[in-house]
Amino acid sequence: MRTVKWNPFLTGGVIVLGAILLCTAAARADVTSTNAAAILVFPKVVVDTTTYTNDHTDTIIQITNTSDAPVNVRCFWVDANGHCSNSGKICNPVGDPLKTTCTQFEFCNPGWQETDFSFRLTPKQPISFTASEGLSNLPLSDIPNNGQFSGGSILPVQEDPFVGELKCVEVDDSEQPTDSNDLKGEATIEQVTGAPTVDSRGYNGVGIQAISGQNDGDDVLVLGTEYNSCPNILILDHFFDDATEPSSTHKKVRTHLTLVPCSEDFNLQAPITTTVQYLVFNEFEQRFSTSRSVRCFSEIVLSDIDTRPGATGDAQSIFNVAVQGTLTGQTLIRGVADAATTYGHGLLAIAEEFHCDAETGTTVNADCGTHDGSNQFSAAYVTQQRGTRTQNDFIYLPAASPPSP
Amino acid sequence: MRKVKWDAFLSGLCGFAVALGVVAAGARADVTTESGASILVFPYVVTDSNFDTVIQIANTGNSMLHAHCFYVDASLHSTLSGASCDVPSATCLPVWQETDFLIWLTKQQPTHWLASAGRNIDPSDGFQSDGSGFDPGRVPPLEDFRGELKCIEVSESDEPITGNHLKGEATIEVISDFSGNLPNDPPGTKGDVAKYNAVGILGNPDVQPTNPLLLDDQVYNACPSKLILNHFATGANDPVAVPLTGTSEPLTNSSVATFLTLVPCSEDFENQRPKSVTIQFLIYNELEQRFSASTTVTCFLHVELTDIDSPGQPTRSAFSENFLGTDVAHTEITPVVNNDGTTGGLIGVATRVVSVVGATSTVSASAAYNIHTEGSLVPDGAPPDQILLPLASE
Repeated sequence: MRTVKWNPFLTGGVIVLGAILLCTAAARADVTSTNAAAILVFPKVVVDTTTYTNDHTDTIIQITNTSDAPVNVRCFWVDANGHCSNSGKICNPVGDPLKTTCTQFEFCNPGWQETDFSFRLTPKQPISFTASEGLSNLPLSDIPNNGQFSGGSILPVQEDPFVGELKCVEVDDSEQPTDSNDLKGEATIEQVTGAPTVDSRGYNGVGIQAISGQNDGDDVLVLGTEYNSCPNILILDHFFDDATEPSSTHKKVRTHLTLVPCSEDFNLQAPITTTVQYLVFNEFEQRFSTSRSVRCFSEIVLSDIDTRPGATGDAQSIFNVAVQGTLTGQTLIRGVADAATTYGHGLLAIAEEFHCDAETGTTVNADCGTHDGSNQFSAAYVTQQRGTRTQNDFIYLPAASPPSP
Repeated sequence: MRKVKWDAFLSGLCGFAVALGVVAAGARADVTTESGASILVFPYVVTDSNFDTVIQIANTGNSMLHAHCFYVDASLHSTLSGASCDVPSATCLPVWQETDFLIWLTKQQPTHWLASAGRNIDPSDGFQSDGSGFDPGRVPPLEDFRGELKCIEVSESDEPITGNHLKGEATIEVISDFSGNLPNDPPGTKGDVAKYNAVGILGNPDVQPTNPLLLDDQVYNACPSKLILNHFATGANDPVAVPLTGTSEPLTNSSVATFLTLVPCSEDFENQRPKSVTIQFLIYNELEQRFSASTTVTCFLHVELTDIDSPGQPTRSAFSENFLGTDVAHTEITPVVNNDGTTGGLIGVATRVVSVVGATSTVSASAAYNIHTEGSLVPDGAPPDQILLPLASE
């Protein structure tokens, strides 16, 4: 009988190597909203300073460099406004058709347009800007501190009104992606009127961390290899729509969910469609489910996920208190994977909770969460998550400089 | 010469163990606001004549979950009359009182309660009513409470376990209008809401924890070694209100304030001893200029930023717009290591309050944010953060 003699050192080495590979796989955790990262996503940015007199809605973005060295940042505004098919007016493709800005013979075309800009932050530098105005000159752009300048400028959003996403990527001096995790950020959406009234809601930017040593520096960012994977399942705790909150204010609650895909092709401007499965649990542990597709950006009232846009059918939605009976629920949200190898179906999300006075003569509070919500206040929060995607997601960046002739 | 002959299997096993150690060290993170956890901390819960709090907790697992929850009351009460008071003094002290209760949730079950009302066990709750759904157990109501809520995943027999199935959110609501003084004591507007994710501390599923619970990156994740807060300078104008502010505009002024809430990771629920942690603040403005301040957190801290270093004179504070000279700043909060090597981690949440001043009134709105974190706090040669639970049975 032949006996195989194990080389002790080799055996140990192989097992250590195996464990280190295991470690590498384990280190690919999910996304984070409380740690600095290399990719920073603000899923919802909204601006409207033109529709109403003395009534501004805007988003304040704060971004900070947490490191002791300067960092370069490349950002992308993603304009998800719809436009009316003939007049070109801005419209909401998933909004209440009875309140559309389009005329009777038009339909609302969904849109997806990116504009990018880049800037440089000095060590530990925080900046803030409103989406409507951007920041033409960064602090320290002309007065160096410790010999270091910040630089670049921040573009305002492309349109006003605007709804969409902001995505920022940490890059090196030649604007190629790096594996450093130095960016953190917050977004605050505010509505201020001269009455005076004010409403404010804020959320942390969602960070996707780079995996050290894995970045090849090209314009294709691979989430799952070069960067952490997107979460497999998003978990949203929420009030069911039109529930009466338990506090003494007795306001009605509605939740808007904003979903953006982890995969984005900024180079070819090709939006990706993802089927989203929803599993809804009420406080009786009863489970319901529904599904709906998302194409590049989706901001939707929960009750409209499984019913027609607007108030119609909301009382029959599985996200409505009239169906569930309990005040709160837990919803698991999953992008359905497929066999594609050049894009994935991971999702990122934030939720906005609107508290409004009850509307008279109706069982649903359809205006809550819109500009017409009665005595409205709101809060925003990042969804929680479970697991990582087995299918990689990809972000394709346009070349930072034109190719050589 | 003596020759040591390596055992192939043993050497492999040792190598694997060493590598696993590396994995264990490398894979441990700090606290989380995105994943199910074994310890859930709501740093700020308040119920009084102006505020109330809705607590939401969910079981993210597919089996029954039990949790042992602790309210820690840090509200100020007069030592003479027992009535609540506002300004800390020799006769106005925090009570540092804990009250605990047990809840249980079926698979994937969400639940909620209003802090002032708690939750009854009442199977006859009506459809769409507040108590509708499986009651998670009796949750005690609170009155004049300001403090934290901590929930720990336990077994059916109340032994701590590391299942990592707890998640939660808290919604702070303003339930009546109240007045204030800008910039650091803004008024409240009835109906205003702010919401934050509860902070989770993950347990190591391969380890059976014992009392006290060790936050040492081995049994439970350690607390962060640094908190990072982006904030507006107190008294800075709100950039969304600015275009509506001026002599010919409807608003006359606007102002932003930031409230910081911090609680120590270590707790002694058995002996009701509050934990103290000294912390250093490093404040960077937009011009990269650095300032600093410090304070001590004993059991609970909820404070407007300028009250940390300049109570009563907000414009002289290192956190004020008057002092910083820029609208926003970036503050790093670091626990100080004592001379004996001991230190302690902190968990927190921040609330930004914007106030706008019109011709006839001032109104405010708030938004809450989870604070960013960095690193793991595991002191060298000193005990890690730990939570000492009261005995489950005598």
